Amino acid sequence: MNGVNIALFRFDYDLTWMAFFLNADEEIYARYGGREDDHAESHLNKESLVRVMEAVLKLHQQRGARRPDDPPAKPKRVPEDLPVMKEIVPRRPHGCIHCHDVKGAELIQAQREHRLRKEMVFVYPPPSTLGIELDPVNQRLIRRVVEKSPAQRAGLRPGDLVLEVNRRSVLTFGDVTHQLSLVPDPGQVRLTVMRDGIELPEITIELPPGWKRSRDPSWRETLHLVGPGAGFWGSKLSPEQKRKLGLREDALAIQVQAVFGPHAQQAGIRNGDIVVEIDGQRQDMTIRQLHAYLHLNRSWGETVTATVLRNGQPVHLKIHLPKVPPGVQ
Amino acid sequence: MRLYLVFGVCVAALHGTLYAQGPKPNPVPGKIRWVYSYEEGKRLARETGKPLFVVIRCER
Repeated sequence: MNGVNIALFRFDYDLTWMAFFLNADEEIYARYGGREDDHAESHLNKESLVRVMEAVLKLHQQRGARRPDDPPAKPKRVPEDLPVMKEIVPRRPHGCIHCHDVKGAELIQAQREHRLRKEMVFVYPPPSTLGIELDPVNQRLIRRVVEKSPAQRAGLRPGDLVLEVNRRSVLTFGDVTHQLSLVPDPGQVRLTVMRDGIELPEITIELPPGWKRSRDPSWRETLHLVGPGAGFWGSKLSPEQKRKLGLREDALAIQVQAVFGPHAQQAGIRNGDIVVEIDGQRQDMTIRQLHAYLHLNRSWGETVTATVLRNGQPVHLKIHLPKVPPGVQ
Repeated sequence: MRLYLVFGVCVAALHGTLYAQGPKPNPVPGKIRWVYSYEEGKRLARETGKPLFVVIRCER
């Protein structure tokens, strides 16, 4: 991200790939990229890329009839302008600023100014937070509407084609998440959709407090900046391994492979332990999900319980979570 | 499509052109001729009247 104009190229900086279509005057036609929680490439594929390229070429040829998009970009700003970045860059091989470093620098700055909230990690909410699933190829097409979701309550249906979000035209999943990023929490979003070839009156979706929180954000690199982690790493046991230990298939069972946090070491967690409970949570999780749970639900300086199986016997432990955030890593 | 898609600009590589020190881009293999300077991409887009396709990727 070195030297990239982050006032223009704004996106979910927890991603590792993002693309933009624009003209030489830096008017953005479309954003291509983004993801749902369950897969990094949920909406990246050749067919959808060709579709958006064709649509962008049409828009470009029609210039003059300009596509309504965001207001003009703010003055140029690069990651190197962020105060915390001066501390991050020397720690990066080749001085390379990663995408997540940009978001990380913003979160650390917020932390230092005592305005950090856990919700700040949930930027660029995916459409699933509304209760809709967009088609991976025709990314304006609603493939599924979740029962009892805000989208269903507002009247959206599978097969609807999303033309605009808050009166900005959208072509892609990336365009939709960009517009959703601008919606407050709680708030409401207005969708213009086409159903059976007919454009419907605008549909307003009411979004409750916390609507930006997605189901499984454990892939986000910056989560560790909003709350403490477990201080150990490990891997999930297979269903067969769980059965041998007398555990249910949906039970938490993570074998510890590395204990790197002083708080985990002080708690007595050892390599080889099998974690079967943490902070009262006993449901199946990956190690990333376990960390995400703590980052998002616990605060610095709190104490949580853990139960591990050691030589087949349960051992109950208390983990005193770090008192201070990690700052720059 | 390829006729129109002339400009792919790896913006992650900008540091190499804007700053004296910093990471150099890892060239993307394949048939597409990528431009590794955003300013150069913009200049070409203006000169030819074509749109830009800007990719930002993590390569390290």
